[in-house]
Amino acid sequence: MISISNINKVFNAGEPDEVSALKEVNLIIHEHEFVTVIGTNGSGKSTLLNVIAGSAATDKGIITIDGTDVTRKADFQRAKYISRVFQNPYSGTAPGMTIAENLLMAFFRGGARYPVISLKGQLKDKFRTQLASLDMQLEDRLDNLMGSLSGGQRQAVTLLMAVLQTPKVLLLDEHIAALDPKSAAQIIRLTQKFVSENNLTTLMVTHSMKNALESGNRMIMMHKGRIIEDFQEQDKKNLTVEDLLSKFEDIRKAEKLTPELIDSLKNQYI
Amino acid sequence: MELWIGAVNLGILYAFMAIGTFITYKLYSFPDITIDGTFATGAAVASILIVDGWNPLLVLPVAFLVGSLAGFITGFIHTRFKIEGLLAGILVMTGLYSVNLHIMGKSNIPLLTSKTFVSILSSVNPGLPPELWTCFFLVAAMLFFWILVSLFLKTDFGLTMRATGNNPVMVAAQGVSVNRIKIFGVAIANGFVGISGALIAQYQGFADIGMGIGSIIFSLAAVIIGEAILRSRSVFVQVLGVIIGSVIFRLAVAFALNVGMNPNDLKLITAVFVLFTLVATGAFGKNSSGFMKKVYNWLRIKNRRIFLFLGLTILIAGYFIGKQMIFPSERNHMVKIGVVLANQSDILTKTRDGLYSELTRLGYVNGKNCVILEQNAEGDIPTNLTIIDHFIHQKVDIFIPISTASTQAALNKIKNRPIVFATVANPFMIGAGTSPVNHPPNITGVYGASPIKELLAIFRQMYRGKVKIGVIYNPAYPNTVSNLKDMKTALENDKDIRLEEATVSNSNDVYQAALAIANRDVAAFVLINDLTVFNSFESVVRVSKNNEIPIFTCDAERLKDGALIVYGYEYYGSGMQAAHLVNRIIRGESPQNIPFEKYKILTYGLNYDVARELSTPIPAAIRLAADSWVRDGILTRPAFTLPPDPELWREKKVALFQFSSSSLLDMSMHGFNQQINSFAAERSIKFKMEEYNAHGDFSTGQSIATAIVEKNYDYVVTFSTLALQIMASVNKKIPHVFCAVTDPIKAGVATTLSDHQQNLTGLATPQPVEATIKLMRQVFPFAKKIGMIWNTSEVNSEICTIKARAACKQYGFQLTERTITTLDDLDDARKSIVSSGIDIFFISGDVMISQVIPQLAKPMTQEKIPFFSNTAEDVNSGTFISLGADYSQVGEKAAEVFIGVVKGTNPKDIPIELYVPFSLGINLNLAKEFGVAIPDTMISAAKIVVRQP
Ligand SMILES: Nc1ncnc2c1ncn2[C@@H]1O[C@H](COP(=O)(O)OP(=O)(O)O)[C@@H](O)[C@H]1O
Ligand SMILES: [Mg+2]
Repeated sequence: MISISNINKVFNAGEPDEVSALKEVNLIIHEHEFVTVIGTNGSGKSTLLNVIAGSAATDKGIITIDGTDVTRKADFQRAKYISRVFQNPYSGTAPGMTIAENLLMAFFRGGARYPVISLKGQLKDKFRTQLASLDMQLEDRLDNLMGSLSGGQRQAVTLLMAVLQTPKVLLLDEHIAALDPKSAAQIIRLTQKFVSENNLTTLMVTHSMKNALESGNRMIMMHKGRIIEDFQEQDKKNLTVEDLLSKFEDIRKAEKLTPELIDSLKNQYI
Repeated sequence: MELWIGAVNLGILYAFMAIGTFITYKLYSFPDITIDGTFATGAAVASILIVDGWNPLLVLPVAFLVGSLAGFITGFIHTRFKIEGLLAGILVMTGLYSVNLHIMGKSNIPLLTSKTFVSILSSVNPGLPPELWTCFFLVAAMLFFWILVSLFLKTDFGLTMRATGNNPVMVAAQGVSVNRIKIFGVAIANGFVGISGALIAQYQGFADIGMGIGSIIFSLAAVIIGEAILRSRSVFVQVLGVIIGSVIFRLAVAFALNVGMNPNDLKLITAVFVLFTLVATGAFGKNSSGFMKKVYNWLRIKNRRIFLFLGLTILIAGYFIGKQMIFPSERNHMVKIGVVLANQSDILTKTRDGLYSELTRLGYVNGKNCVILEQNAEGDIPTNLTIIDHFIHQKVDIFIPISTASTQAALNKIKNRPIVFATVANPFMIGAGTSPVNHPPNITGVYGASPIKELLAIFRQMYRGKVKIGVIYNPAYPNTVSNLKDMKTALENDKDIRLEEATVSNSNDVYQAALAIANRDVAAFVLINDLTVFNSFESVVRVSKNNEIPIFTCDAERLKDGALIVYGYEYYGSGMQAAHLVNRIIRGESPQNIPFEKYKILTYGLNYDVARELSTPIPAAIRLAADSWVRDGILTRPAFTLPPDPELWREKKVALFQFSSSSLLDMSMHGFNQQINSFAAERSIKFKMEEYNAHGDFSTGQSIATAIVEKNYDYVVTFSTLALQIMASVNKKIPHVFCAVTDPIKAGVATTLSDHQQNLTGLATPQPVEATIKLMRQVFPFAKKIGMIWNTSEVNSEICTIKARAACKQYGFQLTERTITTLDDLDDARKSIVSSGIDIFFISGDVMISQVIPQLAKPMTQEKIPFFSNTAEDVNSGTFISLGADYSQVGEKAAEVFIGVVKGTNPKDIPIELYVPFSLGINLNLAKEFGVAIPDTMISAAKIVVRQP
């Protein structure tokens, strides 16, 4: 479904604060795979998702989605295939507009919008039943401003918006990180429900190892712009949180070494 | 009321623009300054198309499209090149200035004589005040537009636009090209602004390159006021708020003007207001504590806010309307003069100073016998309109617009009150008529182009052969462009002079332009009048000194500033001349008959200091001809005085000319005098009436007429046909009003009532001959013969006789005539006619015989012959029935015609009026004697009834 080959992404190239966010990344994700992504801070997880979604351009490499080369396509052009949920609950919705209006935006994802009034009767009823499926008593608040909702509720609506038109790929970037534990659990449950109901190809970045292990059928681990581990379904089943922690411990130890050694180690390792 | 309705109309027209700003600012948080340019673009496109003959409503979609294109460019620059929205707007706005100039071809297009939506509306006006009628239409149009825009914002596309402004990241993630949506929004916003410009141009009657400057702040103010008044999530309410905000803003401007605020301060007040509202509705409300917070919270409650604003508005409006309704009779006999200047430039303030000084000299003292209101539009074109509205509201009697822009505004707004403009280069270019005498009836003024031809001639006295001269100008000013045209025309005859041109768009460019021209090896700068160049005259002087290139200019003020030679009009004098025109109008003349005056005071100046510095030799001819000079830094110039204007101060001399004395003529003269005196008192015009009477002598009459012409009377009024004829043949120039004339056509002064000798007009009061003979038939059904005596040398008498012949035929009488030429023959004629066996004796409109009615009446009574005549008063002298005209009424009516002439209507434009107010006299004693019964209705209709004492 998604194929990424030899992707490089450098920020602030040529300047003192130059950062290589992605280095020669190769990744193939098959249809219906639910991949969780973990990694240290600044390891390039968000950048990877942005590069797939098109909101960050690549310096090098090719990205195809469902067989189409999308490397040169803008984010809004890729939105036909991809829907996203961001870490910040404020990013995914328009706070100054009503829930129904927000849902309408998602209803037309990737399609044309005409100067006709669609937001009425039937469509509103449809939105109402779908909101009910979130189980957050939002079905009666269609005409409330998005800005009046709590973070958890917003993230739930964003998630609903993401699957309103079934996407080819769903990208979730730490979408529960900013939530309180109770809401976070609720959103994770909803995520699993939506993904499995629609059998979605999903890429989910999370900082919670527990979530990373419990969700999905594949897991990748990133560090310093590279994918350093790729656990397929079987391996992943056997992994524990402790295993992952020790992997991180290894990395931390490695970081005390000289840069040359790290590189050689990594080369050996991968 | 006009002031307020005018403000509402402006508010609605500007609301189109405010809605544009609502889209960019409220929806996209993008205060788009492009609109400052787009507004003028809309006006420009609309006006050239309208002048071209387009339908004024069809130009609106074109203005929309062109405006949208400008917005598209801003949006494109902003999104594609990631340039700050404000900066992108400034870029496009700046560029649009040139584009607008190209569209218009000149900087100002008048639409006064073109078909605009306003003129179309007024042609179907059912009789309402024009502003009110326009208001109805605009409210309806705005209602439609409001619903249209609000509905659009509720569509899928409109929602996407709103969401884009709200959260572009989210919208992009939903597959929307944020850039495209932004570009689209900015484009339609500017399209609306274009419509607004197109409408305003039509409303104010012209398009000007300077329109729209500062629009963004006013537009923002409208949006913010709207938001403050109507807080709601509904787009319908939000858009309505913007419209109301725009109207309230314009009302506030009108209010400020009304309480005498300087419109210049209005900009600062607006800026502070916008700032305050932004602060008050934003951070201040949320973060403050204590008392202010309570106040804020109280205000926050939506309904209270609405009520508060509504209440305030009603209160303020009520105060003013009430004031007008309760004290409408606060009559002020002092004449109100409204002076409006377009900006603070030298030329205009000098004009104003000249105006005031001369008005004072003419006896007008502000606050004592007149009220002078002055306001300055400070360079903002629509403010001229608002000032005029304000003046109208203040019931200004005479408008004095100084500058072309102010005159244009006045011309458009004022149709029924006098306008005296001053310092307008070419009034015909802005639609004020086609020649100095052929202009709208309510306007006159002082104008003139620079004497560039003469200046070039002076230049030629110093530089011969092939030379180059340099000129610097700003093509944005219509006056400049017309000056330049004159210069080029003048140069056509002199192929040896080559003109080096440099254009500037603001004062900062002048130095560079001067340098560029100096480099082209010119002999001199020959500067036409141009505000931009003169604002930075020092830079030209600097270049002049460094390169030893002298400056020649038409602006007399520049002599002391460093020009070598000036030859030009004094704008101070323009103001002085305007003062005289104002005075003439106040004294009763109609502007229609006052030709536009060219500037009269000229300065020919020479700067010896500059000549020395540039080592330029000055020919003796120029030294001698110059009337002003600068030597050792001291300016010597003659005092500005207009040639004394005796025309105005001398009292009006009126000759009243009567050919002979008769009660009838005396009566008409009496009626005339009475009416005139009351008019003169009311108008504070002094008339010096002199009465002439020829006492029936032709040669005396002739010499009286000649004397009247020689003594240069201002007006002549004649009483009787003979007086008219004598006077008309001698006098072809002094305005002449006649009355007590039977038939001016037969008298030879007219071919039809409206086609008559140019310098005269008056009343035709034929003797009611036909009616009298009809009356004879009614009273004496069996009478057969009527006898008439008349004087063959009186045209009038002949006319009456001819009428009598026709009437006799009609009513079955036989007419016997005896003619005489002197009264000596009267007795014989009477005896002869009586012996011919007449049943009725009749004297009609014969001046000579009318003098001797008693002499005739006595023998007729003795012979028992009923005596009829055509002067009611004759019954007192012994006639039986006399039917005539009421000559005191005729005199009064003549006075009315005369007043029209004094007010300035040209006699040739006043048709002669047929005016016969019946007056009947009956002698009931004679009726008894003749044994006839007079019906009561006739007796009661009679003016004079003679009965037994
Ligand atoms: N827009 C940007 N400009 C400059 N550097 C960036 C930008 N986005 C990310 N980076 C850098 O790229 C690296 C990877 O960032 P990111 O993908 O956000 O990491 P993660 O999501 O794994 O924490 C970090 O070093 C970060 O500082
Ligand atoms: Mg991240």
